[in-house]
Amino acid sequence: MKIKVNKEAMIDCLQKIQSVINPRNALPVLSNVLMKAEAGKLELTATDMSLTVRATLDAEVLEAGTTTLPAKRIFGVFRELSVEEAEMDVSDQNVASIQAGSSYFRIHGISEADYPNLPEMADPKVYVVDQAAFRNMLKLTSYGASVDANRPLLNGVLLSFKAGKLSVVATDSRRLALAEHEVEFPADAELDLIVPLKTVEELVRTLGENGTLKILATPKQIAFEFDRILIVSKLVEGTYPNFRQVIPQANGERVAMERETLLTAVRRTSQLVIDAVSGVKLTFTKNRLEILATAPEIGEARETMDVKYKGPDIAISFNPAFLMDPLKALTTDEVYLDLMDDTSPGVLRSSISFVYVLMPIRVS
Amino acid sequence: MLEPASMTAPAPIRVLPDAVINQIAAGEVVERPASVLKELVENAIDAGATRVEIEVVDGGRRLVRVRDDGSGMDRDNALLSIERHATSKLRELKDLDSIATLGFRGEALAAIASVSQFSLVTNREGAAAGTEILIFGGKIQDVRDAGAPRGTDVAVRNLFFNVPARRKFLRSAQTEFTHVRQTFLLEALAHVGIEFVLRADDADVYRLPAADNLLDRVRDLYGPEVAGHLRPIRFGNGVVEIGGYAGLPPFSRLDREWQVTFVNGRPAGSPVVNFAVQNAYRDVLVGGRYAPLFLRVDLPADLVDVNVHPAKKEVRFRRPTEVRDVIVEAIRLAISGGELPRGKRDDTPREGMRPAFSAPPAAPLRPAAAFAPVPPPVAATQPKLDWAPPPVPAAAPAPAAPWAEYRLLGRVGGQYVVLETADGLVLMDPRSAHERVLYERLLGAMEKGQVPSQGLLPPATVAVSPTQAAALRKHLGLLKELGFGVADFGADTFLVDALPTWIAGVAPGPLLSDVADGLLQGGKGAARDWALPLVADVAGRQAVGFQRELTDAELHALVRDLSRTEMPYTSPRGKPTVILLGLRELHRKFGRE
Repeated sequence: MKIKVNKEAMIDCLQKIQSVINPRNALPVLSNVLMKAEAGKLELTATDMSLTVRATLDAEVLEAGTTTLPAKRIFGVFRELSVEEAEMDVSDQNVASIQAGSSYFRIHGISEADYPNLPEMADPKVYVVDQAAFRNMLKLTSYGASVDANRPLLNGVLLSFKAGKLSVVATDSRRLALAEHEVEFPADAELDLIVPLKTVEELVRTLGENGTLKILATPKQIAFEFDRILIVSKLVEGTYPNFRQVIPQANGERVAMERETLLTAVRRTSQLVIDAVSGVKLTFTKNRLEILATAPEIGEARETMDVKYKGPDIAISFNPAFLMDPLKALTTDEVYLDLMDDTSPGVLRSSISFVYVLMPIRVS
Repeated sequence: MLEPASMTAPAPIRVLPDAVINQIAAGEVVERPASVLKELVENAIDAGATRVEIEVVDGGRRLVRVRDDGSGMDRDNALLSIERHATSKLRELKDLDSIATLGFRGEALAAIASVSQFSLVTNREGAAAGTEILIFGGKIQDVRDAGAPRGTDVAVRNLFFNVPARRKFLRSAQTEFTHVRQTFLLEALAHVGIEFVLRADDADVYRLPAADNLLDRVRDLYGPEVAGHLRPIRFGNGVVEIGGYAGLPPFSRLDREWQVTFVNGRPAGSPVVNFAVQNAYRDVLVGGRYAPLFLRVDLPADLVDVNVHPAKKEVRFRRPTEVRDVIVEAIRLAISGGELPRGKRDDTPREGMRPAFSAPPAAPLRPAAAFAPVPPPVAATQPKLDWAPPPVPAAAPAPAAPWAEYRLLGRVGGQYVVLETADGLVLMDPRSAHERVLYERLLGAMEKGQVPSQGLLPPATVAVSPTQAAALRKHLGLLKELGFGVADFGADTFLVDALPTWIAGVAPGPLLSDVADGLLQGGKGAARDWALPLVADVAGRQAVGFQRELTDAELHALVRDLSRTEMPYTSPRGKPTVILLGLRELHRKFGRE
């Protein structure tokens, strides 16, 4: 294998893929990046066996071939190059010689024969969605996923293709975030897919602002194709809890609030909530909200703000971090909070298709 | 024909000669050289000595000698002192109820003299000549004038030379010396204002200058490391007063060598005290480990019976429950409050270090104010003042944190956390630390009767085994107090609609199952007492983040939370949370003093 590549293009691609590599994996070859040069293109692949990311760039291929080289080292070498173009010559023994301007590197690789193959995806369902919209839906929901390894289902984000729309859901059983978007797909492609959180994070990092995204899914695998990137991931197997039943049907009383004002007020009062879980108390009176945080041995913090509210007085406590998460992810000016009483879940909505259900904290 | 033994004429009853009585008494009082030492030292102290010099040879088997600078005796008193039950301290039986001096049974010297080659040289202040008495196996050999300084010098040679049956039971010189040293330590700790010297086989073992307080004596005996991890104990209820020093868990041993109790100034144990000490450390130390503890129990003489054990090693309390409760409270107050007594420390925060307290430290969770610490009484029964801890400035209660500020250095083995503090290095086990934090939060919330409970969305149905279900059903009320929203759903299924806020992120199924197992195993005492550490332990096992590596932000939060706990050094189940590696120790290991 012998190629000439552009430094910046190479760095750009390596950056997109190398975060997948598990720094403490048992197989040395998994620390390497798989490089395949063919017909004017260089394909770079990294995997942790569950998640695989492949990026393609243009290269002058003088001699086609395949090898694997240590990802961190290759990345370090290219980042420090002083010239724009490098020539890489990999021997049959997987020793790479890199010549760039006055610099010369020789790096030992491992045969591509040891590298795991990309999983086969037989007869996948195919969906096409807008990249930016999909990325936004992930950002609006993924913070809600559970990080407790004992609950594998909740460790993922649900992509539910049903009734002409895509619903993206995440929950940790204390709050649930749901974002929806119209998507066209054939009726036989109605599917629930649970995508691991690491894959979602990778998508949020690499998805662009323009163009479409092609999603291919089988019951066990999901693939995302966009720009010149391919992300293939295992799915979490199992049935996601019925999220619809968690969303209260009755609306209760509605409060309209400025998102930024609410976010900063909660953030300020929560400074006194030492363990971030004791809760802040929200008291709604006519067109007024008081946010109160008390910590017995430390003190208290109180914020008041104007809201639009005409209902009866109501007080309810929430975990401030959980209240702030959606406020940070949203970009709309106004949010609405629907409340029933102090033990029923609060429901946060905005002008876009977004629902956030949050269970209150009660003191027994 | 031989007659059966029982048919022989009965031996006539005889009054035993004094020498034999003394030898029998010796069996009670004198077990080994260490017991000789104990009697002699206590006599010296009772004589008002300011300096006691002890010499042993061959572990005390060949010689135990105690020389004091006390008041000494004139000839008559000296002779009287070696008569059985001759004691200057006890005249009537009722005096037994108010024994305040250390040696009182009066039989000690006579007993010792009856089983050894005994010499006593004594002189009083201003007397023309002292007295020397020589006794061999209880028989007075000589009584003569002798030039001697003020005080008494008793030498006991070849103990049990005339009682081969007992001599046989003496152990090796090394073992006997271990006992001698233990006795010496107890006496030295009990009387810190007295200068002590211990010499063994012509070499100095200890030279202890008279100390102002117990802490100095402990430092001289056990070294600065142990002394540096002690907290003063000062608590009492007006009748029973507790003083001394309690050790913090980083230092602990598998035996009770570091635990010394003095009842009215007398080194003595009691099952009541042992139980109380264990109870006080129950959520701080793993069972079977013992922290250093120098405990003083003072109470009116009529509330304690010291005459239970012939060698006076054990005492009996008239009101054991009261004594136990006061001891438990005293130790718990000591180990949870106040700062470590340490030497000078650079308190200016170092560059790059985080203060462990971003907010003013929380006051102790316990209602400590309800029991204003009472200074140890200058008990009428106890003339020694040495025990009073050095005065503690009346500052606000300082946090018990092992660091004032710290820097996060990294992780070892993907599990333990390395911190740098002003004092050196700290290794932290995040899981144990997390257990401690959870435990104290739950405890604090429960004491306030306000356990915040996070509702679940949707409620989880959890199926458990029939035995687990029975345990859960039995303790539903307790679980509610702990912040669990658990309802019996029938058929060994439970509906969980809320969890204590701090552990609400974990899967309810495994959590409830583990809690049920814990409840099944049970514990000692009220369920409330053992259920808390249980929940903390289960929560620690289930806790989010302990299956993966904690992020820096999570670690900072944990270090901060741990530093705010009352007892940051161990998990509620007694596992260490931190290992401290002081700069001093590092310097020593690198050979830089």
